[in-house]
Amino acid sequence: MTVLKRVFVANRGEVAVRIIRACKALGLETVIGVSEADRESLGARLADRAICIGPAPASESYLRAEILITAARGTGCQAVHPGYGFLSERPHFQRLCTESGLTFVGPSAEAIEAMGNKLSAIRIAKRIGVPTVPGSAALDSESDVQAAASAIGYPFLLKASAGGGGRGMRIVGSPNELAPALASARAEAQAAFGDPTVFLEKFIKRAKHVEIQVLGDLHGGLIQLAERDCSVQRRHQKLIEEAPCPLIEPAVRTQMAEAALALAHEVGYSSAGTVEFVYDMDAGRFYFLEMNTRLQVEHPVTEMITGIDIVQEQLRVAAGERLSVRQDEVAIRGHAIECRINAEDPANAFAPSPGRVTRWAPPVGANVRLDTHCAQGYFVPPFYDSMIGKLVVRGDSRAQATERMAAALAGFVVEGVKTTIPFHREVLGHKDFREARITTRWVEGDFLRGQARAA
Amino acid sequence: MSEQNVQELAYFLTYRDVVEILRLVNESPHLVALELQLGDLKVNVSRAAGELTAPTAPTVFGSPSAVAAESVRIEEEQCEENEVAAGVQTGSELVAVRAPMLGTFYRAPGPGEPPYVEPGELVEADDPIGLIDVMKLFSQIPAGVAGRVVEIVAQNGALVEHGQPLVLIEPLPDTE
Repeated sequence: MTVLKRVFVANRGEVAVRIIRACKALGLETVIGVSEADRESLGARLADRAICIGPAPASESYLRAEILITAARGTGCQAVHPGYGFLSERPHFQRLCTESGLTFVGPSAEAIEAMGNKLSAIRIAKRIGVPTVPGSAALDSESDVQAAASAIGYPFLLKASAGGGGRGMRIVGSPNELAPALASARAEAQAAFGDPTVFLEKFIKRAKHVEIQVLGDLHGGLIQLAERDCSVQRRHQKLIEEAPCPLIEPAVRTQMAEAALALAHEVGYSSAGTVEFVYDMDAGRFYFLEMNTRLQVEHPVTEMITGIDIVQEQLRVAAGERLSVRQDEVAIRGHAIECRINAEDPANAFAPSPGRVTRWAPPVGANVRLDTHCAQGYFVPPFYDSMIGKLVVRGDSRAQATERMAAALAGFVVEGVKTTIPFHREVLGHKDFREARITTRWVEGDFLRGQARAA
Repeated sequence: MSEQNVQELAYFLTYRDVVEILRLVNESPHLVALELQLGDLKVNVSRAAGELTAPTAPTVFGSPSAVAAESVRIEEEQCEENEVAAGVQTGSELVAVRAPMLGTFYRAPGPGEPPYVEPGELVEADDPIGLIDVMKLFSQIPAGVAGRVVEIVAQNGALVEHGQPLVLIEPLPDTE
């Protein structure tokens, strides 16, 4: 193994800055590959060297595996950190790095393949006894559907086998709703996809998105850093994350953590990963959804309550070292909340709002952390993700963390582009958030609808 | 890093290491010259008239002033600007043929073969001026403009970034 001295950052934005800072803390040099739109970015300034990898569109720069590898090798790097998004979960990129003599900062290509493919991940979960959302195979006849319905129980979702995007989907609440729902779902599925077969899936009325952070090394070390609750979502996009989850029973938390470790162990997982579950608030049960085989956007909330630097651990693992912490050394202290600051207009259906940031006055404080690549005068390019920062606070309790976040948001001034800050202010002040009653459908089903009524 | 002892000669000399070496040399008034070779990389430092120079290591350092600033990245950018500036200083309207992609630049179609172009030669817009290699995928780079080759600014076999000037050409109305 080559000694790790220089890391290539194959990403942009706040995560590039995050990776560079972790490298600096470990005494590692950094080279960042930037598109033409990011030549003047904070990441480009902070790295020891920045090299232009192509034009602004990601398909011509950040998604060009062979260009990134040529750049990494040509600048004498030994490792490539893919961040999140872009090529971070492409097994092909992992393999290309390895074949080119570069260490991919992340799990093996086999682990990415096994867990990155949703069907494969569900199969593995079932094999080792990790609960998955109860459902049926594709069904043809009405009697089969009835049998599956009584096995899964009401309410359930009726979905088109060939479908997607909610077409042919019905919520069936009771046995007498089944026949008409099935008839219309089959007709719609036949019309839309030319295939009338359907399958059943348990409908979780009040669901929370809860995920477990895992970390593994190449020496058999595998630990979990507790859970994050990412239920404040809009169109499956997480907006606010917190750790720990405010309403999970300790016994369930332990089971969930053990399930996450079992899955990670099964695929020989190394580096940082996240095992996502849906938690049924009414039944108090959890089901495996999928695993993200990379650093997660919301990793800072876990760092704030554990004191463990997840990116530094990833780099240690990539250098062939052991994790710096053992499971019995992991302790949860307090509560952390993260708000994603996106250049979007919450008053206008969250429409992207790129452009020049004419004023940037972020909050500061002992328990406030801001992960960002943004600054006054920064031009938010229209080519990429709209996230321009992550505001994170820690408190001794959830109530204190909520107060601190509300105060931090109140003092956060951004002008020139619209941001999600006003949205966060309202959510943090909302009774449902304060009382921890948020489900994954809350933003769209309750909050935004309530706002529309009030307007 | 358990295999470190087996691979002890695989040590990689970094920019920061070289800066540190030069700093140590600079702080040692009695040291006249230093030659250091690690694998393929050779650093040769000699002191003349009390000033620090690095004459035989142009691939690592261009100018001692940049070393003093301890910022190799800035130094390299300066290099690039100097090269462009040098072209501009000739007073004529030079056109830079820029790398259309990041990759390894080669002046010749293959090892041992003559370069596509040499300074002073005339080229048509379609004539290749070099190759860029991206993981063994070679692309010919056309001059893009008819004229006289003034300078080859990119080094043969070196990594060039997207948009980096490769060759400077003095456009001529019609070379036919």
